[in-house]
Amino acid sequence: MSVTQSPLIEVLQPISAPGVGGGIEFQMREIPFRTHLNLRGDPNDSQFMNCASSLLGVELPLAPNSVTENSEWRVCWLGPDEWLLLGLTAQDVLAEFRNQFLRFHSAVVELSGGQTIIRIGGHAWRDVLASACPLDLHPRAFKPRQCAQTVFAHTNVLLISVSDEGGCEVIAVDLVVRRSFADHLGRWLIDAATECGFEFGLPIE
Amino acid sequence: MLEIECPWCGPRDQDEFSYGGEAHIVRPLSPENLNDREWGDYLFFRDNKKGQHAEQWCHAAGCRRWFNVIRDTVSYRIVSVYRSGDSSSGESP
Ligand SMILES: [Zn+2]
Repeated sequence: MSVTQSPLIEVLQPISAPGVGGGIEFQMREIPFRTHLNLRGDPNDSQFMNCASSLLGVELPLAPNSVTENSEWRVCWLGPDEWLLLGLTAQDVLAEFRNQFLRFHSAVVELSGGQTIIRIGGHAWRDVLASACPLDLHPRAFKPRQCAQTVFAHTNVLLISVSDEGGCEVIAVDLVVRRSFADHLGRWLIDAATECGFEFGLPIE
Repeated sequence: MLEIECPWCGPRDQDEFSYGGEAHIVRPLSPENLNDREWGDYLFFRDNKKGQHAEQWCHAAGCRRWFNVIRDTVSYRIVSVYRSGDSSSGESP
């Protein structure tokens, strides 16, 4: 029998530990088992773009490092002809998407088992992330509805901003990381967050 | 550390990029007509310029696109950045 198991099962047990000042300023949890699809296609092919928006219910973002989303999909710009489609629920759509998209010069690749999402939040998330990430995380540079592929602790990650209800302020970040690096990244975050106090495994609001 | 402006993603840390050597080296149209010295020149020999140098970079940890950079090899200052297929003044040829 095969069992679906999160790559972070040994790291992200529900736990909390106050920091040096006694507070808890960093939160982290995993968002496992979502649909991850990589889509490539020609943004100048209007039929391809229309096909994508009718399948997803949302347009593919064309501005570099921007995100579009609706209640089912979050679509991240990865390159001028490349997107990551993140299903907000587990969806079995690969066969249908392949049928639809392969009418065009395009590619759909299933990545769901190959990567996972770690959501980090709390007052100190910028400081913890900046401990091993060269990206400019200042609110004027890293904004709502933005994503960025970069490195964190020598690991390739895709950062996706998570905004408050009004969509004005980035309150958390989703790190999309390869499965085999998730354990390393989880442990690095624990180490980096020890000073400010952390809480794992609970929903971040 | 250099801060390099990816033509798609904007300014990013050098950590995210990989270097691809001198830019605009044209592959000979008929390699079978070259002698060993000419083919060796094409494959292995580069200008090693002092001053403004056209070079290729890939935003390897970002959008994974190749592009061109004019960099001063004395001061390390990046003079301009342009997409593959564009000219250094930013216009398509
Ligand atoms: Zn880039």
